[in-house]
Amino acid sequence: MTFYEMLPLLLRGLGVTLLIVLLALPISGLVGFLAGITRLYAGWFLRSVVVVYIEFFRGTSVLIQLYWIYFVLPFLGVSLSAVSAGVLAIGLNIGAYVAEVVRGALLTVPQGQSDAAVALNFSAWQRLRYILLPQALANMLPSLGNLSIELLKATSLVSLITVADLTYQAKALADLTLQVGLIFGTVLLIYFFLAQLLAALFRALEKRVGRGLKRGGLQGG
Amino acid sequence: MKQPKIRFQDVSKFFGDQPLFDGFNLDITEQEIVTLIGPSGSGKSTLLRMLMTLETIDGGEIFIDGEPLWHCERRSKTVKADEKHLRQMRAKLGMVFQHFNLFPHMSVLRNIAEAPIRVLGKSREQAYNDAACLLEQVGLADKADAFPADLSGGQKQRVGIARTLAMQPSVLLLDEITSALDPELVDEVLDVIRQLAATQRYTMLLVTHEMYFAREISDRVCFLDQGRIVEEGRPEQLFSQPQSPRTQSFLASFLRS
Repeated sequence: MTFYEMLPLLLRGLGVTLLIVLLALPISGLVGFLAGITRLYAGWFLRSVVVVYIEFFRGTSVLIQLYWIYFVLPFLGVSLSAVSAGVLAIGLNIGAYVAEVVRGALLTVPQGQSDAAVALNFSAWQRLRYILLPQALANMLPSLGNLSIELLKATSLVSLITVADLTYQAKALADLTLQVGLIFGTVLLIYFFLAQLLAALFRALEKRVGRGLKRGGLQGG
Repeated sequence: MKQPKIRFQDVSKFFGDQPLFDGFNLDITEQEIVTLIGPSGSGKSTLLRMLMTLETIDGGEIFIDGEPLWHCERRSKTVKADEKHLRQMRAKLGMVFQHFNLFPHMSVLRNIAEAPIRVLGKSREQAYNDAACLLEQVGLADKADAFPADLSGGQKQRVGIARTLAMQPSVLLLDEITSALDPELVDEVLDVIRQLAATQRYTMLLVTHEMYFAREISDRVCFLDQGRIVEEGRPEQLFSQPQSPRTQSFLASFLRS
């Protein structure tokens, strides 16, 4: 089998990997922001729920979480397709880390900013939306960029629950052709290229968000 | 007798199990300018912060226009103040801070216009126009598009004052507004307050270490020590003939420095 004969299969796998990244990334972002904000500002009950979520998903293996969602949940009456299970497990797992990044970044905004926002009679939501989050965002983007790459790499685990992603196709081709060096070398480069793409995306975001803040200066208050 | 604009009634406040205030009382009349002086740790700033709802109280009540700040009526029951009640009460108050606390990610003009737009529901055009007028009033018309980091301390604080005035409060709380400034920048900020006191009808509660300014602007000066008002009176009386030995030694230490 020549490399050109392998390429369509690898590309199909790449498509599945991209699909999972594109679905899991927004889930991890949404869940992470909600959880991080809840952990800081909500009442004790919601806060406890979020703490349990964060510690559980940070403290156990993604692979086992994946197995749970795909193999164990059906016994509890929840059956998900392999792709959905993969998206959910990886989204929730990275979301737990995002939550901690969001929380940490919000804590770095000086107390005086929140004081001033209260004194100007902003509502709690407005204080968060217009005063605290815009300042915290600049601080959290580098870490969020890192986590997006973690998320990309974690998607390779879905190959273990029958999803035909890039890693799955590579493994299948390698078993078939035994050209392990060529195949895994190619796949390595593809993951590397995707990671560089994500890194560039987040650098661009950082620049964009940083522009306003740099002009203002973080200590400018 | 007219109802006081602000009343601290039997207010207590603990830090840990250490009482800072224990049965604190103070009345402030409408349009009165009251200055709090006293050694650091005496609780001056905490009084302002409790009134601005930045610190909770542990007992007693604060009244604004006769209405309790920390409690409200819900279904004909008196309950702990909720966010809705606190926001109604905060609308009467404005506070200027020692460290300015301008929003670093917004231009000077937006710093001033943001709350009128979001909170008062003013149109953008109206809010920016009003903000420009206020900037002119504090002598910074040319800085509308600058960012806080581009300003000197004195300019930042003047923006801070304009931002507070934009919300049209009836009570101004000024918390050591010149303490973080280089000496040569103090007067440009105090001039703004002098002008406000001369032309507008705010009730003002100030904490300051500028004794000459306190003397010049206040209707009443209160000397605070360890959470109690040791002595109060008209400024000329309190500064020239302090009665209490503690006031005397506090003022003497200022004269020496």
